[in-house]
Amino acid sequence: MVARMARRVWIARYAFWALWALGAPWALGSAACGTTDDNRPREAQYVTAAILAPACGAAECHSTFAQVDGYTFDTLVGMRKTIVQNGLVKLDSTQFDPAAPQSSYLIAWITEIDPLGLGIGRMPRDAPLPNEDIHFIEQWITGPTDEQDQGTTCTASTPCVAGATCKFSTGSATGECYVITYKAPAHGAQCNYQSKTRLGCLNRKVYNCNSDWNLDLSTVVQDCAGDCENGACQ
Amino acid sequence: MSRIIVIASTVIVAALGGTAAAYPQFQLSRDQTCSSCHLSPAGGGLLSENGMNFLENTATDGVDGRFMYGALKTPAWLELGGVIRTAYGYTHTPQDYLVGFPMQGDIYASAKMPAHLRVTVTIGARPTEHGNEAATHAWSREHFLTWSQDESGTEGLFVRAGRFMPVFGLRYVEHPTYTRRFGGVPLYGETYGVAVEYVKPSFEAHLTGFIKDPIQDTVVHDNGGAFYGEYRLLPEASVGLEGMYTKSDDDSKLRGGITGKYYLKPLDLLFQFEGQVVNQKILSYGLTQLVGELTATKFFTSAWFLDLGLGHYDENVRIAGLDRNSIDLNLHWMAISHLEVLLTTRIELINQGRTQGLDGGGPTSGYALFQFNYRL
Repeated sequence: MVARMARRVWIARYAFWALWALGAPWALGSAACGTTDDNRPREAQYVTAAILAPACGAAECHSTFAQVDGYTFDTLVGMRKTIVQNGLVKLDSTQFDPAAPQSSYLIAWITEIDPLGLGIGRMPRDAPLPNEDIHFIEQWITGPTDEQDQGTTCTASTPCVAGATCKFSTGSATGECYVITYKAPAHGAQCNYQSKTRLGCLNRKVYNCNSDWNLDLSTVVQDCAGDCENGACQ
Repeated sequence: MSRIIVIASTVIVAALGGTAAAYPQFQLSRDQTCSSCHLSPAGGGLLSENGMNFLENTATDGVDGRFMYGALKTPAWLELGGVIRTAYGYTHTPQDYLVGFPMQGDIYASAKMPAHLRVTVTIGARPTEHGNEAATHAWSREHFLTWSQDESGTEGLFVRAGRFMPVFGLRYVEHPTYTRRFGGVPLYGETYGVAVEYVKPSFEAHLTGFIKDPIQDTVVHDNGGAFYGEYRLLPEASVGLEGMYTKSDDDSKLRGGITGKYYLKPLDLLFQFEGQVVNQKILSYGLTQLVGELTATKFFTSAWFLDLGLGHYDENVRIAGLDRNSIDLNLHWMAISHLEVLLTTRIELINQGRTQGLDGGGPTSGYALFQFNYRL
């Protein structure tokens, strides 16, 4: 009995100190792990579930539970609505160029202290995001993640139709037109949650919105000569 | 400007609210199980008579620890309680704020029923939901029915059904602790479920199945199950195993972890550890996270104790520069049987405070807050 008890004491003590011995360097040292080869998928669902939900969607912040200032970041559906409703990223506007994501409100809020002069500090207000995540969100906004060859030949003097990009081969004066589909802020983010017309914009074209706020890309409702915003040509 | 200072007498700083719960620091150092001082088998909420006696003997001013100091008599089958918590202090995130905000205002009720049944309800204030303010000033965070094998309700088999927090891990009170915030049991993470629990002085096990709250907009959006088992090898040492699977519309998570506690009686010093490995799957992409907390608690006199905590959270171990470390220092004073004054401080480092241009780090943040936790 005494021997059994002594054995339990021995196991308990050494098991615990083994936990500490393993745990302390793990907690302190694992920052050295990881790689800069960022293979994270540039998808709205990833951005939401891995970054925005744990950092911005805390209970009393931008969770579905509280929705502070109408912002929700703890679900994909909520994030899409939030991005569009509040104009955090506007891909078809001249205000925010997808090639310069730093100019979007989303990036401004998470990188700058009081970006709009409203006395509201850098978000998240309880603990800032790592730079690596901010950089990743910028890449997600920038896109493109999908290019569809239109097959049309273009030159400097004969550009592509609005919404398409001319890609020149190296050393060549002619190129081919591509339609670039930006996934950021995901298919459907251009569908305006508040829009009664249920129309959304992508690449200066107007599309119908599905019931899940995805764009129905099968039919173009209208081609816009210039910018398209909130389901209407500007 | 690089810094702004906002001074406000009442500023709601969102992520710093909270709810009162059991102190895991007292387990092993003062008693073996949470249920020896709380009516709930997992701890938290209403105190049992033993819990109130403990506070009377622990606090600097050990006044009558009963509800309303015993002035409000309740029938023997009914237990009432409540808590008001506020906080005041300084936060740096990286802008600087002087803040003061309410954290919690709850009333607890627990009614003993025939056949070893007990109904427990918590009603209180909550953060309002934007656009739905009128209906969301108050709520019932917890309401559940418990059947206990033992009539005293302190040990043995328990079955619970209703709305409560799944029992998982060490269950720190401080919800910014990584093992709570990123560890599957965040603030207001209560949801509907059924739990089968077995509590004995030498071990306890909790198995909970839960669903996304079908009634109201919530913090957690998962269906899933959780297991937590703790074996106390000695009166002063325990080891635990934990596992949780959750699935939402956006992702699934599989958590596995270990816990450990060791109480050095000669020094009145308690060590606690919880570490989790989390596999999150989003679309077809799988990632691994690490969540951990090491804590040492030194009890000075009966009414004072100090926690030193080291937390670690790595959002995705494959990617460098995403890890966070927290250093927490919390000084607790049980001033009277009904009032705890707490100085809670934290420094949080991203990538150990290293910044390499735009990558590989981030601003260091922190806070120092005085909390006043008043138990009715």
